Amino acid sequence: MKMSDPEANSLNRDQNERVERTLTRIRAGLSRFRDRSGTEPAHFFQPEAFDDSRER
Amino acid sequence: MTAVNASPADTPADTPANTPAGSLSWQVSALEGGAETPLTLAERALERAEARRDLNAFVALDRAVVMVQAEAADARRKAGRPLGPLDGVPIAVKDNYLTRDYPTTACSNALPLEPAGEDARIVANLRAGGAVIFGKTNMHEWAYGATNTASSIGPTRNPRDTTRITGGSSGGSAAAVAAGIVAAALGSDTGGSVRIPAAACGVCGFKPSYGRASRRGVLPLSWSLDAPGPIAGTLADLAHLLPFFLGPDAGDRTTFAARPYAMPAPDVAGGAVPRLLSLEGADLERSDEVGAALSRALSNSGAACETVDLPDAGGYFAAWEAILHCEASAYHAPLLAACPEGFSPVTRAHLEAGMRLSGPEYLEAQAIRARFVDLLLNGLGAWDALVLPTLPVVAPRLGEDWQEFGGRRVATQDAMTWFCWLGNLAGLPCVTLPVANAGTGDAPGLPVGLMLMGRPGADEALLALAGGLEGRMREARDGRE
Repeated sequence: MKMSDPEANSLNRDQNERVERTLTRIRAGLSRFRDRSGTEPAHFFQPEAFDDSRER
Repeated sequence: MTAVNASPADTPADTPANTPAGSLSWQVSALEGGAETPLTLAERALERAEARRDLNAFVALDRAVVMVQAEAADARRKAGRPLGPLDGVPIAVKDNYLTRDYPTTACSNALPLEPAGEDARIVANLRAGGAVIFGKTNMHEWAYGATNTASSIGPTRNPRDTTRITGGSSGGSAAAVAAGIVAAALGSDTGGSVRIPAAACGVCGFKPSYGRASRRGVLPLSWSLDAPGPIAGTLADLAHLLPFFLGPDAGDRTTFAARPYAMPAPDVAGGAVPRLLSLEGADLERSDEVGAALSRALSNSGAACETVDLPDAGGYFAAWEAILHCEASAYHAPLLAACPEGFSPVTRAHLEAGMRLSGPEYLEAQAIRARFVDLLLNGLGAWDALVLPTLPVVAPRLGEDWQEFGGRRVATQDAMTWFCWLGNLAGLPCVTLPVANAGTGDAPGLPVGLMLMGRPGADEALLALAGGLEGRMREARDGRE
């Protein structure tokens, strides 16, 4: 792994504009569904998946 | 060498089955019958890779590594004890799969050039079946892009037209297959990274259902979107490879209930006509050239295909993008802090965007995802497969930043994932196969991919359905001839 260059830690203007465009696009898309809230997020937590002693 | 396997139906004549490697199915038969040996296949693949260095398809390829495996396979076959039908078949591996004999860099400048010391699960499965792990293929840095133009070794070039991109992020794998270097290669798919380059290069690619194929040892991009998948010349070739992908693995908890591969149902060509739904609507536009190729292929397939409007595709795409950037940022945060210059400027901007999204916004995206899966599976009526083009345009030229189609002007990166993200957001099995393209303008006859998405967990049924359609398309083509 290369050593970090302190000057590389900040984003340049083009990168900052890209970040803003991306966030604007995502938030506009998500907002289309705000009046239809109430759906549980698509995560299934299945603890049996972690039980290595169960029969396979 | 003359390939004996039929080419994909309705495709241009220069299909991978007719290239120097032959199809995977042909290689399996040739090894079984003694017409080829692991040594001849390995030598030919090495020669072909050398001859097509212009494609920049490989980031690591070592003759000694290849030949020691081929010699071992040859000895097993001579002793009458092959490990399986793929014993001695060279298979290329995307550079984000861990391999014990090659470094794994994800074509970034941030990872050390040392072999991992272990294989990814899929690689281990193939190695146990005797496959020769041939080399590591060029890819879009960290799999975080769909053009294959951002890579530590430079862009991959499309074998169909070397002035054009392969698409990505598994672009080196698709190029290696399309150029006939190898008959099969491994890819990974978060928003189409198996299907996009397969379609752009005119070969077949398969993304398994989420949770049926182990991601163990494949460097993550987005944990809940990623799937490993094969690229090969024909659908029959994919059927040879899927058994090595599907099934439970304790190293990937999401596969705990995964069913192993089961032989697909008989070709449906003579049975019930599959119910296909062609998705259209805003944010699902495609070029006239691609639309015409798809319509012709579906017409020739004889399938019952109904067109439905998919509402809010742009909103659902935003959910996919939010999940992608959030999960990628979480995974890469430690390395980004230690080595920001190890990431290209665009990838860094993507990661920064992910870090600026909030926890509630991530969960909002996951809730929209749940709504999307429900819509596809339960809100569109009965269907066996959803149909879309794999790409809205033919492979763009290198250096083209924008694509225009269907009245839209879209960044090339977004054009590449234009349709494929649906399969990842919903976790559906997906397959792309090449169809004939009459061509227009300055790009006559470049590959066009037909994408089919199946019901979750029904990977084998999807492949069988695709095979049935392909058979009917071939019959229609032969009838015209």
